[in-house]
Amino acid sequence: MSRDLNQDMSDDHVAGCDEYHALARRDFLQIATGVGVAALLPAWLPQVVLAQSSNGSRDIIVSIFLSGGTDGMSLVAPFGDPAYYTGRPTIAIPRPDAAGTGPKGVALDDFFAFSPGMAPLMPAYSTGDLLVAHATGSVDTSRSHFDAQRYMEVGKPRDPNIAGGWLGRHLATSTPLRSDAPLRALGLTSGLPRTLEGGPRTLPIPNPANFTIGGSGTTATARTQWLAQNHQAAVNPVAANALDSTNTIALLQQINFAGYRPSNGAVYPTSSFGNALRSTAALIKADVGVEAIHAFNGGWDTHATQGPLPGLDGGFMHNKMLDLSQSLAAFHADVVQGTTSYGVTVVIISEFGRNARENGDRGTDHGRGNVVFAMGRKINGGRVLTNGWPGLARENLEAGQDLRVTLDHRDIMAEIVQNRLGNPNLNIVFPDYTPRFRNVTKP
Amino acid sequence: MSTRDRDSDVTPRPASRRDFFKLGAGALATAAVVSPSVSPSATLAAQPPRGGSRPSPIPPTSSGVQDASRQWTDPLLRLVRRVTMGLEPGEVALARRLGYNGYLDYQLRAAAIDDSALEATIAARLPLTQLPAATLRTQDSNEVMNQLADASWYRAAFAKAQLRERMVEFWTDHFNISIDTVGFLKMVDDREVIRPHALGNFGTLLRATAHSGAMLRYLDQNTSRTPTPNQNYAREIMELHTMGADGGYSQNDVAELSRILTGWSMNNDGTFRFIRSYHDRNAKTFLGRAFPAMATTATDAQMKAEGDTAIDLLLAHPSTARYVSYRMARWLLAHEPPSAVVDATAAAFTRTNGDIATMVRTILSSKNLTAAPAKYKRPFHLAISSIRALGSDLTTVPNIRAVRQQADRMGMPLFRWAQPDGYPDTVAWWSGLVITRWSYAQYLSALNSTTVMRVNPALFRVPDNPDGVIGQIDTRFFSGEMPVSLRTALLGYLRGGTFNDTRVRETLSLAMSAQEYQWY
Repeated sequence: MSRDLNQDMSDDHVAGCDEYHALARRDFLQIATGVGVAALLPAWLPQVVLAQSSNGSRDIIVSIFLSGGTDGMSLVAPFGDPAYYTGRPTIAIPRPDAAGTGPKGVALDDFFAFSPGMAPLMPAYSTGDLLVAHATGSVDTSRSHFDAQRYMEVGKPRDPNIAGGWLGRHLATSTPLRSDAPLRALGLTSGLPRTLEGGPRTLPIPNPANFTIGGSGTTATARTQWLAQNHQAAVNPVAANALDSTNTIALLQQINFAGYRPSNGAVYPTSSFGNALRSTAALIKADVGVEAIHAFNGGWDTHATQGPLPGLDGGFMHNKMLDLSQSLAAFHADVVQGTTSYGVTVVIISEFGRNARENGDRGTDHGRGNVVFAMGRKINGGRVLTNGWPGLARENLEAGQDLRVTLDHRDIMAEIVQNRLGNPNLNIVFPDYTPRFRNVTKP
Repeated sequence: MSTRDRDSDVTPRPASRRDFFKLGAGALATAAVVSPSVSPSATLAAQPPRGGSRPSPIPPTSSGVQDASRQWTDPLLRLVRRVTMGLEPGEVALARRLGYNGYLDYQLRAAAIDDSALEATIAARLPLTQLPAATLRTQDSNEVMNQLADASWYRAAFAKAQLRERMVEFWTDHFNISIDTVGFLKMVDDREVIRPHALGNFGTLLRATAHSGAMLRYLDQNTSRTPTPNQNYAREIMELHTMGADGGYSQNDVAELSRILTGWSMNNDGTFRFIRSYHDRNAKTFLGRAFPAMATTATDAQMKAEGDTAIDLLLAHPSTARYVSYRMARWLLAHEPPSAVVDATAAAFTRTNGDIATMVRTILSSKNLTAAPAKYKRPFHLAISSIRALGSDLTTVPNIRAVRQQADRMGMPLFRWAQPDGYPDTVAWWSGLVITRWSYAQYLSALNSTTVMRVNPALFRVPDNPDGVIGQIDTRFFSGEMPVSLRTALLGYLRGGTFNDTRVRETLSLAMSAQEYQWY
């Protein structure tokens, strides 16, 4: 919607400004105190978009959680380790130089290869924008989805009492990119991801293109106003969420998600994950002050008939990888390589990897070391980072079954938080941990 | 894409009285609760309070933020809120007749409650719910899924045995099975496993889940075979169904249990089947108990019985009593239940060998409930409670599907949580999505369809003036405990336009959306 609406807008709120002029938060607050929603709408917004006010020193972050425990050795196969093939007689990714015309790996270097399902990410890798880190993970060894994911999201292993998530604490300890942005962060989710808990002006928004309370247009303002007022007396986070929500309605309605055109000919898959990244791109390019977006990509819990190759057991995981990689490749072309006011860094992580050896169901059970991805123009990519490959021979495996974790995932995240998100408060974002930077970012 | 996330801390831990009333203390007080791991100076501004609250982007209001339960003075109404899917005048009148313990006993004896009229209507409107598994299997799986969800909505909204519906919801999460993975098998599981045992015995329920085709399929147990079994079900039965993640089992116990359970499988219609050739006959050790090697002449029953023995060990383990009690107290009493209540419930579990009704009685004593803070309604609960408060019944809701699908936008489509831990039960997870709650309320209040659902404003226009409408909202939504501030605000809105059905409907939508109505 909104182009017509734009024409109706008064310029009062941006009078005298030639460049970016944020909508004052107090103006949004007036929704709750009497000024109509329409009067606040978007004269400013197209100007914001055109202004391209750039702050090259800080990135917007897109955080993606692959839930279910992704088999990192199917995404990025260690074909140089012979034990990989002895442990996985039916589900290993064939070497890039394997004979025959069947599906095989796409070499990243002389040891690691993308599976065919991840091959669409080769352009991002080749341009040096995509970093692959392997044998990474957490010091938590429970192999429980729920504990492992929780501790990754909160940013500290084995502490059930810590407040908020690592990204939420980053937001709470950094100044907003735009001081008056009504919405700083969102999860493309039906509930607030733990990663984002604690973040000011942070909401779950499953579909940003459809964020409104519905009902008669003539009473929408009055009802919204009533609800904002009503929720002021609620406990938090209920009250804050309601306020942020009413403030965000106007914001999101100004963005033409349906008509969004990706740049560089990028084509997002029409899957829900593809749509989520497409909406993410539209949000970032609308340049309305959103600085963190979190999304889940689930279904990686592959205990049986894993199917990491096309044609193998229906290719379940292959199809999941294709959807993931095609979506990310589109995002890379469209946003990372495309023109935006801000740089964008993407991080992709899962709660744990899976057993080095396949089980009798041609699947894999819960394991340990896994792959982590980081993507961005200021990511020192185009390589596979390991802190010494621990090896897949049985004597090198954790508990005799799992790829060892030799690189704490917080090393990667912390370096991005400090160098790309401009937040030096690593002791708060990742408490009780001294990260070691691994040249994940470049100046 | 899955948008699934995890529930919050499910690890039992000591809860102080301050914890118990944490929500009631409001933003200012909780802001002082900091993680001990970072220095206070760095933390006060940066660190949100534990439990999902967060730094307020606005100054706290002067009106006095408080737990919604502070407005609730009648212990009996607290009970009705907790054991039903929402206050409703008829139910409240029944509770008043029976008294606190009489009403709780009545709801706990669900088998004696006559819901035959409801069941007959469901059978007529949703015929797939009646089919045996073998036939169900041949039906359109999308329609099976829809009819199961529709039936669950009808029962939640209109069953007299309301506590059973609350417990069905609880066990559905505790033994979560995604219908997207198992299709028609979940219909069978709901009908033959969860519902019959929801207020029965935990051990019977656990064993039924372990023989359920839906569970065996969902957690990949049905294909697990020697010599390299998969560990999915073996892990989750301990972590989520019985002992809890910190319950004292090892990674080796997971591997050993997965070997013990090899062969537990199913036929195509989901009926349990032990597959001899899948079973690992070698010696095992599980939770310190030796399982000797089995001869090749061992019978199927003897091999299958290893799994039964393992489940008995799980049932007898003290961690199971504590973990199940914690989860149940969290569900029925408070997001963070006091450890004394959990201890008492665990003792009841042990004393009665897992009698669910006794555990519920222990948790829901008048003393416990009076002290408990309000809980935040999850979307399903909010959706159903609104339908009940609007005075709906089977005749005014001839087809609940469209309403259900609108409500699904609030983020909780039944049986579709992908991961085995079930939908979260936390304020932090759900309260961010208020817009969809408001949209649902708006949608519901405007319904005037003879084929979907009809909301009758005349029910609320008694007497036919603004005060009458607000009085009816007080009665039907709040059983007379509507806060004065809300009364004033609703009256203000109602009087702000022409007094007609449209305005009344909008006022109803605001009542359903009001923050005071989001709690139970």
